[in-house]
Amino acid sequence: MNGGTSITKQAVDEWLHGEYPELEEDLEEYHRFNHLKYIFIVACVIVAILTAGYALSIGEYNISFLQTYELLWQHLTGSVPEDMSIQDYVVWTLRSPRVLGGLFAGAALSVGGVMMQGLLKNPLADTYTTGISSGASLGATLAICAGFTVIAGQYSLVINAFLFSLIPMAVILSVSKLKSASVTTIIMAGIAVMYLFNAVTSLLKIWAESAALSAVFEWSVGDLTGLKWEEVAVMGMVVIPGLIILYLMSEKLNAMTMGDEQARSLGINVETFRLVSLLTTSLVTAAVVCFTGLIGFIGLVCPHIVRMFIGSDNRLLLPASAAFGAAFLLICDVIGRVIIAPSTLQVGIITSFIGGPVFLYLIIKQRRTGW
Amino acid sequence: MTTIDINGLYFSYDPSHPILSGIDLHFKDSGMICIVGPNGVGKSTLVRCLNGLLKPTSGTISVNGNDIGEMTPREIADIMGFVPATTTIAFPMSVADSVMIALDRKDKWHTSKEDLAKVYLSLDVMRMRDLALRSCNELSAGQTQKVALCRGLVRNSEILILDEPTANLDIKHQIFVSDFMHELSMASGCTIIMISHDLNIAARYADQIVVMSKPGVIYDVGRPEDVITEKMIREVYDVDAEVMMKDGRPYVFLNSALNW
Amino acid sequence: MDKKIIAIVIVAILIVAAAATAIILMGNGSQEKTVKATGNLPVYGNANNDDAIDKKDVDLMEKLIKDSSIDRSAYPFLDANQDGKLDSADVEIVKKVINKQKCDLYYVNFEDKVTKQSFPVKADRICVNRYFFAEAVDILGLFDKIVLAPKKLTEDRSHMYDMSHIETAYEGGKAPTTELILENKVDLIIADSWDGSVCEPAMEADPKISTFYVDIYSYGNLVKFIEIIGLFVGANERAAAYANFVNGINDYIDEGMKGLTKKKIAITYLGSTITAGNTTMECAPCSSTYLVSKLADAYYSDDKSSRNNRYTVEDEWMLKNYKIEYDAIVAMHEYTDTTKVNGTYYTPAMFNDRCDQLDQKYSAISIKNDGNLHSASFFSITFGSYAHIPMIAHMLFPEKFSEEKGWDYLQEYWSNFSSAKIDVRTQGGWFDTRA
Repeated sequence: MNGGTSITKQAVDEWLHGEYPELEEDLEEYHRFNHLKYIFIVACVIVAILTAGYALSIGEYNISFLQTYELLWQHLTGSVPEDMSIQDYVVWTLRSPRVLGGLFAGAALSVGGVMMQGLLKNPLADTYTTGISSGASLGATLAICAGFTVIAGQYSLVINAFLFSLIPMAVILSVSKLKSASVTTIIMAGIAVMYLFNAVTSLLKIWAESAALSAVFEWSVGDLTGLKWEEVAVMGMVVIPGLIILYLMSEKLNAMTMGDEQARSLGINVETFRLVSLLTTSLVTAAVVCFTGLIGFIGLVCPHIVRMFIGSDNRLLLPASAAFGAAFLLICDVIGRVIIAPSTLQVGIITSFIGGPVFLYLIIKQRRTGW
Repeated sequence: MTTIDINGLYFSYDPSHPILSGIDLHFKDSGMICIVGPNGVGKSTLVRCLNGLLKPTSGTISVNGNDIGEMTPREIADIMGFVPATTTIAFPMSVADSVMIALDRKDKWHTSKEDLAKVYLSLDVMRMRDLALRSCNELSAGQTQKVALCRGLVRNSEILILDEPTANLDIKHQIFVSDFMHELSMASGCTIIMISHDLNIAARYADQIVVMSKPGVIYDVGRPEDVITEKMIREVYDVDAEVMMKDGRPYVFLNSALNW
Repeated sequence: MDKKIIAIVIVAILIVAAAATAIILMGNGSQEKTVKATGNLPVYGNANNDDAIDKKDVDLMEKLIKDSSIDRSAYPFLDANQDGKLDSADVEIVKKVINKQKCDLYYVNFEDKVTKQSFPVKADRICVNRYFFAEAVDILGLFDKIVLAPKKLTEDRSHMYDMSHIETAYEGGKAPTTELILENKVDLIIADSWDGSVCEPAMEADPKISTFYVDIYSYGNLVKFIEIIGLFVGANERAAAYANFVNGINDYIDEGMKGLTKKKIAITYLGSTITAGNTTMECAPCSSTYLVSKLADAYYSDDKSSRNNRYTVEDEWMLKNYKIEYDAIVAMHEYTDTTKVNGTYYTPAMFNDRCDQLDQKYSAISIKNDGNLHSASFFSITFGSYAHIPMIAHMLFPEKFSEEKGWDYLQEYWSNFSSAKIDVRTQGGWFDTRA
């Protein structure tokens, strides 16, 4: 028997000639299915913009909504009236960088979470899983409690936090070269470094004087207050290209979630991909964390919320998470500034407060077992 | 024309326990090749060495004259497709999306109509188009396997390696998939390498059968009617069976295991 | 690609290590002008280094300009305009100060850094970032000019002061936000050394704001802060009165200590509860150690863990080292002095209860019976810290310093330098008054 049955011949024929009657209808349905996802992304972007617009107009210094935007326009066209210089300062120098920084930070941390969960195939992973939080904490604690900074000057704390946040990543990279860049190696190396760093940080905190100790604690909570334009510019210079790079890798990330074998058989150099994306994610996260401190839950919870609407296709999940994360963080910041006005609750506290219950809700309500 | 040359292939994780002990195989436009053999004899290891997932301890593998060891994963993936025996998906996506992963898209920014059509076509061929938008973790084992096959198909590879593709399928699907693969190799000229536990399926659809035996060597290579013999089944599988011919193809009737 | 990553990582770690070593070896690094101020008014233009900028300084400067052969080493604050030389321009500035005219002055701050500050400083709407800075403002007679303060002052100390003039109170006990400062149109901020990130932007937004950074935890020289701020806000007389008061106390102590040897003591710190098992000591550079330095040498540890001001040891160490490393304990209790309890002042009886508890902690040794276990409130966190010293003196040297004087000096501080009216003998928890 050397010919196939007529059924299979027909099937192969169909396959090689590339069409079947219901094809158009099916394509239509797929696009409709995806439309909702695009709408979600657009909705998130709109919410982010609206929140940013609102966030700019609120604060302890009383400036009306309209006046805020009038001032913004005047600043950009260089026509700020003399007697409004303080208001101009408040809107342009105090509030604007905070709002823009919040958008960058939310997007970066959220996308970071998506990447980490995909790479480590673990729904509990977030941007801090590679030890960035313990590294940055150690750097900040060293600067605040021991006055030990790599570079002196105004940005000594920030640079310390940044450099130290990358050390765990460097260790993971080196270990991966020696052993293998498997998921287990990465997680274990990260945990080992995390424990070590946390121990040193605790030691410093025990010996610290109370003013230093509370400064360390405040840093660790995560706050958008006091972000300057220079800092937001640096953040943007790392975050924007970083997010673009990660987006370009999102397709391969889909394959990675199917296992190393499948990915490799599709032509992906699995180990290189893992290390490059980890490195990029770490840099993007470190660039945020060193300025804002540790803002928790964004990287963990936002991807899961977005998955409920978008599914797990990373090509859509990444941009959606960026938009959602930006909006979410900014909303939390606004809440923090409004809830006990005229005092401010740091955004890191709000995200944790909201993150916990939301996470529980997700776990309970999830009908489709996403994980 | 597709040539596969395997010379002196040795593979082991630990030198004292070799898995493949000197494999020599040569194929030229061989259509559908089935690799059979008892458990643990190294069938999966062999195909994984072939497509570069594992690095041989010694020996060379060439496809169309090019040494696999010198090629990047990308270059290998361009000519070889692989359907593993099991698929694990950490974060389930829709069936259509999971097949799209395997596509080699020119345009990174969006999915072109042709790409999407190819995905749906493969789903239709495997009679999965109704489930195109279903989440991957809602599928049965058989359906999951069919989706994996779609991923294999969608690349139109010159060589397609299937690791026990019919393990979870019912008899109808077993026949259809095997027949389809055979027919595909005839019609498109691609080479299908299929690992199978079912001797009858292999016998009925393969153009060439590779029989592997312990300790990781080739027992015999050739056309089904030459290779599937009672002697082979006894010596390689340690099973007593009867082989009869129907329409020029051998059929195996199993009697009993010989030693345990 | 592999080798490159390893190389980059190694290089990065080496850079970090090298920089770290350099910094450790270099020590604290950049200090442009290290000046040892001998007086309490380290402002350039205070030629004779006393406690005021007045005609005496003009005379001295003119004398020195005329005769350049005179030795100037005793006068570190001649160069009023910081241009590197002493000339008529400097004299002009001093004259402006005397006439309360606008000019720029330079003073040495508590970090020994030369700081520029415009003179005079308007102090009609003051912001205090910590509740105890209100005391400094009070000393200068400007308490009713406070408009922005933490709730730690307005709520927790409502039994002490009339604070109806404070327009905005903010949560917490630290600095407010920049926007809050601007919204309240503050013109003077008394800030803690950690508050730069809040105060600097405020001053950038509104150049009319001035900030003075005060460190109450270290080195103990609060008179300097009062005199400097007093000069700038034009409260020279009040500042001088405070300085005199403190000098008077120093004289009293010096007089009484003639012929006596300083004691070896351990200064311990207790928070809201008396912890079991550990004792926290305050070592230099804590203010407390400097405040008592005429009376006693406070225990100091070379151990790295005491690099910051406090050093915690196990009680066992305290028991073991009595009469070896220290001869007496002066325990400082926080949250007693003017703390609000049930809407009114902490009482002496409550303080005595604390002392009873403290006795238990060291009951294994004879320190209590030897009369060497002393208790006082946490006196280093107030601008009235000096006023506690006569009583500490009485505790350590009862034959030479009387208890009466101890109470009198403390009372004098609250009566003359504060708008809060307290009778210290009956209100507040200050000292151990058990018989």
